[in-house]
Amino acid sequence: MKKTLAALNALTPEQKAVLQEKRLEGSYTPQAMLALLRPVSEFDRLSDKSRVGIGCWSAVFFVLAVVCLIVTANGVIPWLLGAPLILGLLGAFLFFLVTVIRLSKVDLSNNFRQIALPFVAILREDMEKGEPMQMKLDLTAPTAKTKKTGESDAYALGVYYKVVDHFYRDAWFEGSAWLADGSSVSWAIVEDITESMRTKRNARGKHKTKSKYRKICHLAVDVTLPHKEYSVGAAEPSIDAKVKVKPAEKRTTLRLKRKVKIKSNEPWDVRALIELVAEAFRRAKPAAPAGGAA
Amino acid sequence: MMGCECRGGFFALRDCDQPVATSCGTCGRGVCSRHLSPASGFTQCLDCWAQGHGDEQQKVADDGSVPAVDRSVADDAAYDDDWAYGYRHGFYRSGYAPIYFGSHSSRYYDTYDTRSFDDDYGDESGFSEGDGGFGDS
Repeated sequence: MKKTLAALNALTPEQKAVLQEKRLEGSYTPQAMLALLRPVSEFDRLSDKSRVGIGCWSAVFFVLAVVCLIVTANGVIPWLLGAPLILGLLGAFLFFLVTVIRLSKVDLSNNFRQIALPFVAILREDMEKGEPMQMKLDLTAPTAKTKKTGESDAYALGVYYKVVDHFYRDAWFEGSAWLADGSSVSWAIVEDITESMRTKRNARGKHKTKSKYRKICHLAVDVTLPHKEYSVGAAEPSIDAKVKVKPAEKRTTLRLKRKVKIKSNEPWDVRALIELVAEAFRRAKPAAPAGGAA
Repeated sequence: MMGCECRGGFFALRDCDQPVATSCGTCGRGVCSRHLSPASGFTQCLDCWAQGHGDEQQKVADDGSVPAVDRSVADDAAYDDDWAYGYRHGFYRSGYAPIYFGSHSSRYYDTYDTRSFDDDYGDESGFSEGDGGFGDS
């Protein structure tokens, strides 16, 4: 917890604003963006790790306060000793409770640090130093209320007597960048999330509800390759992707789309996005120099 | 004097050619300050560091396949140059052949199946491996 709070306090006002607004939009160099978001990412990682522990300590202090109250009320401990002990335990309980609520409020979607940051770090390698990229990043939770698109009627499924599916659409990451070779890359990611709330009665007659997730992630990438540097031909995709080639006078645009399906609400592997951009470059070959053999 | 002998880029490679700061303790190539690996204590170039550690980041099987869950995106990764070059090394080992725009004839990158323009390349008809237009650099 100490490390988490230290990481939070070490953030600059701009980084704290990102945590509060949970949105980032504009033109950034990859270097500036990584410098801005790395500390935010580190704080978010520490916060995710420590929140469960802080919540548990909060519960422990509350239980101890109640036990202490009972023991003191029964005369086992004198009030002179018991009262400050109870107050101290309640104070610790409140401190931990407030901390966990405060950290939960600034929690960011894990997509940000497991997909967006590595993708920007890879794209940076192909960009001229100081060249900005356009970026729109939504860091709110994939199942935030604002992203809800609807819900199903209740139905029964196996042992679950009540199942309600909640549907969310999370268009959380899009952007574009010019690369050093004159190509351009633009990308857009939209995730369709289904949260299935399933309720059953267990053997002791208690009603238990749990959530299950499935997610379809739509990845779309446009890569525009200049004829000066590249010639583009037809090829079988090396990955499961739809590819459309649109030639123009000076450039050829490859539009690539793929779907990633996962049975959880966790981030998918950033490699799926990197492979999609790589697929465009796989179809390209270096153009012959002007006046050369070709 | 020749500039930095490292190649920048991920989807396509290009020569760095920045002024040489020192030489890599492993491969001996002249390297600019940007291409020295901080993780190695600035004694190795980013490529040598990646070749020594990249496979730890990205587990690639002998047949070139990569497991479904990519270990390279560790939750605490800094996404700095060391990470990017390690990821690049793993990605190339898994089968991606980047295009190379450059003029250095170093054999250092021979392990990467790079594609580059070749003077005797004149056949526009195919894209298959071994095509005259795709010389291994």
